[in-house]
Amino acid sequence: MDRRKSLKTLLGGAVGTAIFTQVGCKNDGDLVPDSLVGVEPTKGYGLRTAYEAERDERIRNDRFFTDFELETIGVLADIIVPEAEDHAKATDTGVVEFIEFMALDQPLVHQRRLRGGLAWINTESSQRYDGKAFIEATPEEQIAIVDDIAYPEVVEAAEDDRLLPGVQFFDHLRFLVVTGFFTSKEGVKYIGYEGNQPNVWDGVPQEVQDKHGVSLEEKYLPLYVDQERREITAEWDDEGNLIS
Amino acid sequence: MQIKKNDKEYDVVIVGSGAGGGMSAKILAENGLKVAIIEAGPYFDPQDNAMKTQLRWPWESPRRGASTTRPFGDYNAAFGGWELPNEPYSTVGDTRFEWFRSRMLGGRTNHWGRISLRFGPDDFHRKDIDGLGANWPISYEEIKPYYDRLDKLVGVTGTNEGLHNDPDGFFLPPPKPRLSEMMYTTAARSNGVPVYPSRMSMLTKKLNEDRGVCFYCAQCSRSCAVYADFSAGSVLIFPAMKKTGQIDLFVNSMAREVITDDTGKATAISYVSKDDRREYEVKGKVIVLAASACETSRLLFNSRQKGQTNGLGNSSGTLGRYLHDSTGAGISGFIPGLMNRTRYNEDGMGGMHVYSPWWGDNKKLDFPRGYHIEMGGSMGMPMYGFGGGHQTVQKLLNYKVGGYGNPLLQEMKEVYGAYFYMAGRGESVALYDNYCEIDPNTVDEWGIPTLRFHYKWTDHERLQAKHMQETFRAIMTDMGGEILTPMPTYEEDYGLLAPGQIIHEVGTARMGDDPKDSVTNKYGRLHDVPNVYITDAAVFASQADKNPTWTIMALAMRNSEHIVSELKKMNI
Repeated sequence: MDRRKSLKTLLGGAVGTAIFTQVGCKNDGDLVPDSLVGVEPTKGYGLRTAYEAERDERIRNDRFFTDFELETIGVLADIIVPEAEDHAKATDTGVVEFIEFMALDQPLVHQRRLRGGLAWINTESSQRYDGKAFIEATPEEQIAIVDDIAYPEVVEAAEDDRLLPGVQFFDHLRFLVVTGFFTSKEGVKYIGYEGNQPNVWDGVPQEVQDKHGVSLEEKYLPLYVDQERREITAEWDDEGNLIS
Repeated sequence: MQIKKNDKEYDVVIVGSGAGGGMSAKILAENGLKVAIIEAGPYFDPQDNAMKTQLRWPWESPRRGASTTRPFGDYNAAFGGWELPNEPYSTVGDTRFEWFRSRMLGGRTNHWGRISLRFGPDDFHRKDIDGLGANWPISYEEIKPYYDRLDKLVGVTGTNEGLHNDPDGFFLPPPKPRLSEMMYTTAARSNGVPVYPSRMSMLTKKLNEDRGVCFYCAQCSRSCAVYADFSAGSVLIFPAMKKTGQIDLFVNSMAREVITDDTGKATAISYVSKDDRREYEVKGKVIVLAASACETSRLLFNSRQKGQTNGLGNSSGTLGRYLHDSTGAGISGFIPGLMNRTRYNEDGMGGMHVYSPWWGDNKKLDFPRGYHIEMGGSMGMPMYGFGGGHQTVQKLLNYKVGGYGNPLLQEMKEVYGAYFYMAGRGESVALYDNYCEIDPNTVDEWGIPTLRFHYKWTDHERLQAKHMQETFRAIMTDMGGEILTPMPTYEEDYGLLAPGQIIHEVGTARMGDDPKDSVTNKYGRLHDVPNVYITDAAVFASQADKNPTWTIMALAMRNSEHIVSELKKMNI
């Protein structure tokens, strides 16, 4: 069936125009019923309790990292997620702002680890490169330090305890940068997530079933939802057989 | 302090607006009764643009959906969790118990998994079968008509399979399975584990004019803006309010006590308003408690009848006793055969499209009760935490662990959608020694004495969890998966989660024919008080290897119709 046409007829009645504010699928015109497009987004991110709203407000008015620290996080973030043909670099996807927020949102999890780690990497840089802070070092010098702390098993095998704080810091920062990137608009596009939009699920595409050697059971074929009849009100006979 | 009394007397005052309270309100109001609902949390309607979280993207949340203030993340429609600010509870000795509360209109029905399983004939008389726990005072045949009506009223997907203890019903057509679920089906069956289309309360087909049809965004845990999933507000309370005009909502109102008169009859509910922190009373001819199992018994403990001090309706001494949650244990795995997946939208319905009901014969096993299997794995929406387990997968694939830059991102792209989990949800045996009571030392911020818990798993549950572990590992291996969860030991309870973590806690005011060892009769009416009823899971004599919501609602329907008939007969 023509998916776009059937979506309009199938979803159009049930889904009112004012219901959807977030239409993330505008680019993907094929799957978007017209009734869902063009509604003004609301402020915020859904109802917060009074406790949550006060907390968010407090964090918004607070600040944890210094400019120097934020700049260092930005340089490291762009090493972890650099710009490429098919995606933006971390600092262009809101990752630094996200990390600043998380430091205030979960202080016990992030603050000491990140601040201590940033200080560690600056000391390391300073010792190696004649007093230069990490962001003052050349790109080649920065990568040399990152290469030394980015592979935990290599450091463990070398039994060089001196680098362990750096490994732990980089591990933690890498998690935040990667999770921040993949939860950004650009990251979601890069990973290829195609959901979060009204659609009609009609099973695994045939070519995917073929690729993985799976198939639907014959006996359930007449029992699965018939998406052409989804708008017809359900009725049953006395034995519980669906008859509409 | 002067208590503000409302002179209006309702036919029924209901405490709580979840599955039990919502269903009670609907049935009572549709029968012409004037109803007040007392709800501790705020008003919530997922159709309201400013409230709804459905279809929002991770980047709209400043914490990218992290679970800082809500255990299932920023967009989850549960206001609360296992910890609520300024509403503590405690545990005694080496008890592990976690109490999940969601303070909002509709309660936990806004975020739950919508797995909607009837109890079967065996589930109402387990004591006859294995000698443990207690039988219910009612049979499957007595409750079956209510399950049938519930299927048609609320809507549930499924297929009639003729299974003895997982009865047929009036099902909406199920959606086709996802890729990983098709792989699971083959692997499970080759291990002797049956697999059927799942039974979930989402509308895959139009049910009535009040509600929309599922549009497959997988976000039922955010509560559906077109009311295509079951939440008590969307499906029961709002339509009943609109149709009857008989329901008054008291939100942000924390119930404190059931007020009784000199004759021992209940007359009102007193509550603390969260808006002005003052105490109020609402009068009712009948009081219905549906605040959730533990909250309902807390309310009874904190209520006094003339001449007794150990809680209202507690002449048996069993109030708070026989508290039990479903067992839960699971594993996660990584399936190399699912690397480099073709991209398409496989959000589907919220949760699983297939499930495995209990298949074993406990007479031949070393534990008395069964479990069902839930499972899943898909190309889902990235949220906070995405990428967190990547080093484990690097080790499995013999990649260089760690790294950065485009090669790392490329790896993550390749393994997207290749994770799979299985989880068992089983029946535990209700025990007298697993219970809640009032902690005399503590009050919450509303001045109401809090609960403390006593709870221990036994070998019944541990050996069941061991069976889950062995079964899931065999299935995962047959799916071509690598197991990521290390096998837990006996000392680690074979991976059993703490009681309360599955959020199926039931019991505490169980129903029974004998007033000496139960709190309510078979209609949920307190043995001790003629006009106080319970319509939540507090009355469960035993949990089954099923989720409790469908049974809570069937019982609430039955108990509420009993109230209507008793009022007509002038018996209350």
